Amino acid sequence: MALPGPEDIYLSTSLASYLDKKLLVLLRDGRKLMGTLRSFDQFANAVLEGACERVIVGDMYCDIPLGLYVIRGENVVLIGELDLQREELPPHMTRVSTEEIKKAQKADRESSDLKGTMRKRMEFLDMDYVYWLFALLDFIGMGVMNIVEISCLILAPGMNTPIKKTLLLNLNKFVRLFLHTPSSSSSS
Amino acid sequence: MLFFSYFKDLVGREVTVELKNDLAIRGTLHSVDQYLNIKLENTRVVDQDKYPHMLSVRNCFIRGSVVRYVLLPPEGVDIEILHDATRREARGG
Repeated sequence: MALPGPEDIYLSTSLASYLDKKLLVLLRDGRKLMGTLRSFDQFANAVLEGACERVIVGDMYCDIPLGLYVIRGENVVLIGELDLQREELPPHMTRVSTEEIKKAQKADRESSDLKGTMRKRMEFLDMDYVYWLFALLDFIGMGVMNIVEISCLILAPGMNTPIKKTLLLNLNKFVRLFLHTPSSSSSS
Repeated sequence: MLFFSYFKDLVGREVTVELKNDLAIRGTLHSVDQYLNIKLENTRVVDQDKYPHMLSVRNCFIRGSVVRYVLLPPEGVDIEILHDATRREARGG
């Protein structure tokens, strides 16, 4: 296959038209790198000069400077040209310091880890039974569960002791988790 | 090479590319290569609120290996031609 001449670079899929431009590189692990493209090849291996990682947690963001980065192509999801005329982020987002964003990132990760372990624990439950109970409660028109219903859940047959313990310890979180994601946890 | 040729015919059309990380991007198909890497122009992310960092991206290059689906305009598919081409390809012609 003939290499495209310089006049074709804007028509081809090659990254040549992005050279020396400020880019956003999305990686497979969800990281977002920004920098100037200095080199690339057919695998989308790329060299970014002045790279920084943009960390976004909720409405906060931070650009952590990294330096010169060589990115292995297989990790690249998308390379986007940044329009310097446009606002980079929505106006409600605020820039915070590296320490703050790292703290926020850690808190965010811990809360999602908690959610994951809760879901895993719930796989032990007889989901059909719990699901019907919630459907029934919904039908009766109870938005929030009271302590009587929770005790029903805890005393229900077919539930093992660690689950009961979890329920007792984390009543609030457990109920909230359940009310929000009954279908996704029952299908998994 | 069938799908490569096929995508080349779709250049200039508006498509939605859904990636394996669930990000869906709509834009005008600018070009495609043998790896089915895709370049889009005038892109917008379908779920903008969830991906604020994509707000200022107008043109992008998507690596073929991360694409899950390409949603095409219905009028961009001529089943007859595709059918014939598939048979021709299968015969090794």
